[in-house]
Amino acid sequence: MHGATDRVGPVAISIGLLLGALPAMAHDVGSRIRATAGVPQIEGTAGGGFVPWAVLAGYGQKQEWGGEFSVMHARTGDFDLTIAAGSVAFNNRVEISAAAQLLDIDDLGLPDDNLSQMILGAKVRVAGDLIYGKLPQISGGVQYKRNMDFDVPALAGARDDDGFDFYVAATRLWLNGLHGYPVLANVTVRASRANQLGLLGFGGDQDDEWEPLFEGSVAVLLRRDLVLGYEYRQKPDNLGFADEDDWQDVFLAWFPNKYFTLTGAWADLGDVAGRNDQEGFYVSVESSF
Amino acid sequence: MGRKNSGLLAASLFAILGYGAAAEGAKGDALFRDLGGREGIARFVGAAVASAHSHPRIAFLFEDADDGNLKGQLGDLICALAAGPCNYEGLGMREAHSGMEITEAEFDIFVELVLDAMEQSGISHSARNRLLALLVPLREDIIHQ
Repeated sequence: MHGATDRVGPVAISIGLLLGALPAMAHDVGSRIRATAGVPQIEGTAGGGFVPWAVLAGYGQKQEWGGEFSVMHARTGDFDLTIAAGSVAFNNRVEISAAAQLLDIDDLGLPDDNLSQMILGAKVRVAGDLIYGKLPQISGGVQYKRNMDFDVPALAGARDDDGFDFYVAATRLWLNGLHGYPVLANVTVRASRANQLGLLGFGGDQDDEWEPLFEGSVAVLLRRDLVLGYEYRQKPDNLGFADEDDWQDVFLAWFPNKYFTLTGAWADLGDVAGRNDQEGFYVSVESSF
Repeated sequence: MGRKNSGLLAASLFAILGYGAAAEGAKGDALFRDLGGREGIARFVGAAVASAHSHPRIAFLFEDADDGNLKGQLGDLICALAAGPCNYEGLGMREAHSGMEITEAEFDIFVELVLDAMEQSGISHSARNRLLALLVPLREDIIHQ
């Protein structure tokens, strides 16, 4: 029951695999320790799958640069979401990212078959480090989102077709977290008016305020190349036509080396656009450089 | 807002943070044994130093070292950190790295070579990370000296 964009996910994942198979073409991957680049986040920055972390994309340490390409495909009962993203980080200080999101709503019988948006992001490491020193790594970020299919969001009561998210994230990895199994914890606070990430526009008929949203992740390195994590992301609920629920996911990420990361996850998106209990999975592939 | 489970989330995070902080202070010679004792430590230290000599970005830091002495000192340091029956009698970290101007990147490269060497000599994930947790606090006295 999926439309033409059904092919987008597999194609995007194939491209990602190809990118992953061509590691470090003209650039040595950075020096930071394996798995400290995190996994592709749904809005294009480094993080867990749903939550932006304080870590920066790629493995660049001070005096180095790096970044990553990623594709992600999520499928729930009624929706398909495909994301392509790229990011680059300099000096382990500043990260610039771009992402395109395409949500297949073919099954909903609305005027558009897809909702899509572009996201440009910037993140700055303000203090601390993921592993070293006394402070956790603390970063501040901004995301500019522009909805490209605003007819349906406007009908649903959204006020604007673009908007900003601002967030602060603190992330720490304790190497000897659980008897030698490193444990990561992340807390992110975000200010946002975005409905379903922005795919349903910004602000709404029911609520149009900026409000602090809390997001968190915990993860454990089961092996040097295997990370198991849980994430929770609070969401706004601005539109009267349908409830928007908080999101959560459990992910397993494989880091066979510093050039390639494969992530699979179970995701629970709750009610989305009037469709109840959207549970499913996502898969992402990432190539670091 | 949607479902309000964030209280539970916050509590879980704090529980894990607290446990993590407590576990880093763990003592006893279990780690020394898990690293394979003096022999095990000597094996992976030797392998890591050998890898460093052929690494394009950090070989120059090891060029002028007396290899036997370096391996001995590093082995003693790790043995002592792991609460093994050794004393580290070498220079303090600041003195030992004085004038080398080691960067964050070079430090991380050597850390990964040590991790590779430990993995290749069959030391468990848990023991590798418990040792790494003890080495990480030394970084501030090693880099930029």
